[in-house]
Amino acid sequence: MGPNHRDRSRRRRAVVVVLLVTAVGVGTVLVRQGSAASRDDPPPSARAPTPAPSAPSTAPSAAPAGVGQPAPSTVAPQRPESVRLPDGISMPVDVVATGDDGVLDLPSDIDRAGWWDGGSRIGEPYGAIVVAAHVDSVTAGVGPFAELLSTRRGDTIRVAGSGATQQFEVTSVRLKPRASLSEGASIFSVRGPLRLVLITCAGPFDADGGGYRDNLIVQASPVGQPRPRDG
Amino acid sequence: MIPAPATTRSAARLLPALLAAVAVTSLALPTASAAAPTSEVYVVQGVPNAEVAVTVDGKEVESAVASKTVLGPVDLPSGEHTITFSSADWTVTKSFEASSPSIDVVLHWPADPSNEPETTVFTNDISPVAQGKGRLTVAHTAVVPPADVRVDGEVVFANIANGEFVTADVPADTYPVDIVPTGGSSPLLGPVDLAVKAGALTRVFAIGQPQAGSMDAVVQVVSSSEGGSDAPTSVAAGSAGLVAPGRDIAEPGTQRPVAAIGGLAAVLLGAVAVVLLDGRRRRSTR
Repeated sequence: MGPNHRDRSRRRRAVVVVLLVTAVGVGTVLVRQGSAASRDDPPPSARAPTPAPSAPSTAPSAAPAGVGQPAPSTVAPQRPESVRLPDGISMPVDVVATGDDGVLDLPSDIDRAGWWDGGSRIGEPYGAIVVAAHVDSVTAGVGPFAELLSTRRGDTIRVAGSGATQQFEVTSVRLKPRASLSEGASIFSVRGPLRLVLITCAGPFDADGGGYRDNLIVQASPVGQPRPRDG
Repeated sequence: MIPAPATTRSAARLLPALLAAVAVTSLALPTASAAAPTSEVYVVQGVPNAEVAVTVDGKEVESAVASKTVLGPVDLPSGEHTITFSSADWTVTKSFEASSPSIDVVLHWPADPSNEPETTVFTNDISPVAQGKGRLTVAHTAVVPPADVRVDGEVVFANIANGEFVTADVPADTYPVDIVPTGGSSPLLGPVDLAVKAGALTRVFAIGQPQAGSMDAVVQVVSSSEGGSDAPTSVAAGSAGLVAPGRDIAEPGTQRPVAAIGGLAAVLLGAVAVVLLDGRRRRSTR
């Protein structure tokens, strides 16, 4: 190896270092600008427009109007974000919708439950809060909702939203053939007193495509009013 | 000054008054344009027995606005604005922030006697409401202490003070509603039949003063939209048969063998056995 070659490779290394330093520097500036923008600048929609020329000159002297506040005795309606089963295990809850085929589109992850977006929310006085989850899967085994198979009347289930929790007491546990789930469909009704309806699968299993024969339906009634979280 | 007592209104006479006050206003869906954000501003005249002139940003909107009138919506750019209410007895000028797509600016008496009314801004939640439901908001803007809202005599919203509101999505229906002092039973207002429309926001403002016989309600309906999906006809919530009768679910790879074995036992015996087990367990725990 001649000195020329060594010089060239040294130079090349220097160029690489300079490029790297420059890249890191530019990147840092970009990241800083990005975070500064997201922290300090309101989104364009929230930015106050420049005062219209027609605005009266007396404006600055006016006292601000009051702002209506939610009554502290109630919580703002909010969808469940987690559910704690009688055995104490909590599961995150996603928002799920019914597909065109009428099937509730549950999270495929057995460790996550789904809240039906046509149902009621924590803090509302009427209707069913419907939360469902897979009981098992071929790849992940048995899921937390298998707990419902041994749930009994009187057991406690708690659901939590972004700012409040509500406790429920189990009033019924029953199996219903999956094929007739929607018959006499009061479990999905927006009417009637507020209740929690948990649904999973159970019963004999048809490995040739039919799957579980039954749905396991746990219904529970609220115990008192929802409480602010950590309150 | 608080207006002189009017004739006492009976509950029966309130209903037509309430229905007459329903101001149905259709509201275009919020535009996606973020370039020029605007706010739909409704002005609610919640002071009984008064005619007021309403001026926004120095421009007169209307000169003689009767009690229970809902004006608007007035399209205002987002940001701070000024509103002036003038009657023969007082002039109230307030600044307010138009910061959401739909707001109500309400002129009303405060809870305690005062020489002039006050102004409170409420945000209208016009986000989609689930099918078959309507969104109901009840705001306390009357000269009364904190109150409960009852449906069919049962308290649905408790302890609302002047300047506060409650909100919930409820099945679209007509509800017999009254407002009572918190914990009390003699109505300050109502009972009246309140219609809650599907896919809309129904706002009720309790206004006036019981001693003056001027308790009343302003009802405003703002269109929103229906959201949420249909009720499912099928919930497919398992795919492995691991909790089916006869399966050894304690095999490696299962996550919660203990609970699952409990589940297996229950399912083995079927639906009838579940009920029996339930009874046995309750006996044994007593």
